Amino acid sequence: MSDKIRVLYVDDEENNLISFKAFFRKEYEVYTASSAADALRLLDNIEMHIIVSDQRMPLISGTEFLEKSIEKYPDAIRLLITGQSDIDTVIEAINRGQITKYLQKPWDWDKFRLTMENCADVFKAKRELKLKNIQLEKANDELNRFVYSASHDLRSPLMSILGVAQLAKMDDDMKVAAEYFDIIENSVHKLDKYLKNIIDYYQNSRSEDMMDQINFESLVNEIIDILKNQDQQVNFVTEIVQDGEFIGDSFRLRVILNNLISNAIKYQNPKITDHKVTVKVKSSKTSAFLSISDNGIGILQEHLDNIFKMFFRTQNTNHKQGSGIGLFIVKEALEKIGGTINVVSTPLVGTSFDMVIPNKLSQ
Amino acid sequence: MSQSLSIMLIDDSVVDLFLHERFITLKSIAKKITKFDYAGNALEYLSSLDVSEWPDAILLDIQMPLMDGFDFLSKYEKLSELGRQKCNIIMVSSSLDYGDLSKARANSQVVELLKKPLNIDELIELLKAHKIL
Repeated sequence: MSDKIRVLYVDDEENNLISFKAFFRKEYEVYTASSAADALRLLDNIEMHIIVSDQRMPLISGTEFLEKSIEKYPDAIRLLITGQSDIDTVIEAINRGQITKYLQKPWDWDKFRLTMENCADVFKAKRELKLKNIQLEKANDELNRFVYSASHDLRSPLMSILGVAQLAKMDDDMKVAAEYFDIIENSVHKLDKYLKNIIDYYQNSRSEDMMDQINFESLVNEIIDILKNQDQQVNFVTEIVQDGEFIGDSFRLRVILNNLISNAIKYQNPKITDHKVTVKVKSSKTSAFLSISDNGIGILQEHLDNIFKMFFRTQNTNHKQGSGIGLFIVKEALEKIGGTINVVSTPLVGTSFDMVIPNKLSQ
Repeated sequence: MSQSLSIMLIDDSVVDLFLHERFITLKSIAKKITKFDYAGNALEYLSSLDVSEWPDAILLDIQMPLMDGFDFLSKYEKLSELGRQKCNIIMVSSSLDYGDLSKARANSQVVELLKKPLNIDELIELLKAHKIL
């Protein structure tokens, strides 16, 4: 799609349409129509940014047409072209919010160009504002969810520790004491992991793209080395084929692999003993294909759409629960480096996360 | 104190289930404690009970994945009325979220909302005040 501003010009005089197109085609993507009816049909198929219309046309007038176009494209900029005698119509149209600007006939082209530039600026400013608004809403929404989650996920391990402390004071049974210390230890680990995740997420949303030489073999092995202590029963299989240099963001790649491999280790199927996590990488000059698969408990079909949402968690049979932030971070990090992810999962058979990440070498 | 009550605990945190069970055991409040880390299983269990077997009280956590405390309550309403008359729901939460707190207080089935960590003396007071204990 071109970045040019799309302009629709409606006039019943064919000559005007031809000269308009000739004059503006370099700066804008120009569409023309010789009647309001034709113009409305065009609007059905193409989103216009600036809509220019002559006032005096048979059947449907310029202001009537422009008013109709508001419904479809409320954000478009509307410009009415009219002669001196129609000035009352113009004033009414402006007051009713149907048009943003008007141009008086007969026009001189320099003035027309200036008016069009004006319209384009207003449109771009509006579009920018809308985009910023969406980003702001997203940030706000995340903040809300963060506060809600913090009130629970950060507090609940703390409250468990407090509970244990109070309980220990009344409990004389020394056999249970060891259990109390275990709870304290686990709660501290949980809290710490949660905090690390949050730091990862915020670093990811702030930091600029990095361009590092990636050696997938050592990156993957390094991560597995650290994570394998989570569960000694898991066998790791790696198949790594790297064809030439790969330039990418090592921080984000690490965050992505860390989360996915850690999940693969964590959600094992308790009904089988040969727990397996497979990491495959195949990188070329243009992109890398990464796959992390396991033979774990899998994800229910109905949850697959939600797993990348912030603080989405499910209940599962082995009491293992995440913070609901890991896959959300994976998705955010992938978005930053232009990667895509696909997940396939069958309950009690396993899950496979497949990613394609572009090689910055080719850019 | 008489060990007369049957109490059900519903909490996704196995740690909190353990803590609450231990508190109740140490204070000898209940003769029977049933624990569920998934509210859906608790519902299923309740619907299988005769009225005489219903617990006297349920300690219900608010924030749980898949089915939270409020989801549980809306399904709980459809269970045996006689059973529910016998049973008292006490919500427990580490939440400081104002919306959650007011929602719990506004729910007619909820006797009281207690904050985590559970203060066992507070729970005993509450059970006595409502003539449960």
